Amino acid sequence: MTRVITVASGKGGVGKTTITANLGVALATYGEETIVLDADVAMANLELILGMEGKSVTLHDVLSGAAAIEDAIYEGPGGVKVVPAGISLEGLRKIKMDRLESALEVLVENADILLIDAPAGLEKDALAAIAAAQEMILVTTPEVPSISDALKTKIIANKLGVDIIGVVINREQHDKTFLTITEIETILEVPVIAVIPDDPEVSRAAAFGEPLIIKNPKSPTSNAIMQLGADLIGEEYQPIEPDKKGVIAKLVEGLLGRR
Amino acid sequence: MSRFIAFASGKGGVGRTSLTFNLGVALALFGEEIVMLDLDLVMANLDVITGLLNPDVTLHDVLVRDKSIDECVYEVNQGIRVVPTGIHFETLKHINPNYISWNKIMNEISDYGDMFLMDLPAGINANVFEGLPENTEAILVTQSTMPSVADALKIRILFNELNIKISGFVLNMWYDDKFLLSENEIESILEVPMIGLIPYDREVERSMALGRSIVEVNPSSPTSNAVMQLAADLLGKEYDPIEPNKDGIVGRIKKFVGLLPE
Repeated sequence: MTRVITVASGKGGVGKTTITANLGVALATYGEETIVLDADVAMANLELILGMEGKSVTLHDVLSGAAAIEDAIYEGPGGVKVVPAGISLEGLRKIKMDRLESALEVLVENADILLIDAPAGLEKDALAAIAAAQEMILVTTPEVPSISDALKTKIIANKLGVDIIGVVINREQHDKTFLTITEIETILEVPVIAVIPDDPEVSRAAAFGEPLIIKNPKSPTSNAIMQLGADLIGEEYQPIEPDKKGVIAKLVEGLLGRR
Repeated sequence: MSRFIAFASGKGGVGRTSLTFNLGVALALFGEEIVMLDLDLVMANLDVITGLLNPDVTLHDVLVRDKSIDECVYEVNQGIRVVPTGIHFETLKHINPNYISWNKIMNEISDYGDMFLMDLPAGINANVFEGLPENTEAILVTQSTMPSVADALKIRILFNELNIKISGFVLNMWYDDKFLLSENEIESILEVPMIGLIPYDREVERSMALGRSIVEVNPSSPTSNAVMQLAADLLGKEYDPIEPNKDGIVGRIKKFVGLLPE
């Protein structure tokens, strides 16, 4: 049975697309047949982050009735399958969101996990992306505006009968001015399932069109996303971390001689 | 005559609302009567940022409950007036965006100040774009990342079609990184001039968490100087950045090490 999970945030710019892209790659590396769909038809960024812009057939073409969804599926980094939204304004004008449902049916048949990158806001296209899935991951930063918008999204998702897996706190920077994990859990009334540290490398990786999880798998951010992927499918993950004990032992040995 | 300045970004999270707020405070410090309007009917944040939590009457009530606009004009720090949008979307369900008369709202509001800063929603679906006052000057807000410039470009194209005048773009939350787009590259993509470059500073978010503007909390920071400079340029005024007197410091050091006579 295919799991359809929407990644949504409410507020824009909290890292929703970055998390979707990297989580998709993470799930693919665990051997799950994963498709990532960019449902942000107006402000599509997934293809830019994955370095897959300029594909000839995109979701725009599918939603305008000009192409079949099968032709809009591309192989991305780490074996993840990607359906880009298309970035042209012209393409956007011709689409009909009600064509999304039949496209989704095809995607579901071809994947173990379908990750949907939802648009920010709660306009028609955002609601379509939220309603399309059975499960949702909420993404927020620890700031009040972002949490308040996440709460709105949660309320809508509940009304649509979508099961909320939990909230991912993105760009955490250990700053007491902002909200803590416990405070966020209290406000949103959903469990925190991952805390992703703030990392300027994320923007730099995007500039290369390469997801961070592949560009720098040892970074704390990549580890946190790999862990999230593992938790979602009940796998074990051993974080890539420096072997501090080994280094200390060697240092002591070098200084004091073998004992 | 009233000036209407609209802030648009396409992509969310590029600091559009914070820039609107900080620039509003900066303009007020230059003596302007400022009104800030949150035109994002769904994901409104200006009320949260200005510390106006749970105001009695919001733009939502004007739109569905026939409240008059003068009931939802609130004064915050520096004498700035704010027209918040509600955050309860129970109300939102009753709003049909196709029936909003933005012209009427803008007409009524124009009695409340000389400069109106309008925080536009992210995305390109909003019908508010078509209801902007005729003399609106739009400012695009972007960061130096490709996704945010791409989305700003969409807004630029859309605004050209709608005959909305664009004064230029503000490169926001900027930090020096040659992997990201440079100001010249962004200028050549967007084909509008850069009118401000605001360095990234975590203090902006920290000040806002306290309901304050960076230009009040730390007026000598590079970010505050850049915001004040942008405000001055918009008004055609002069601004002298608050910077340490380096000549004085160099002189003192030289004197200290005995290079200069007493």
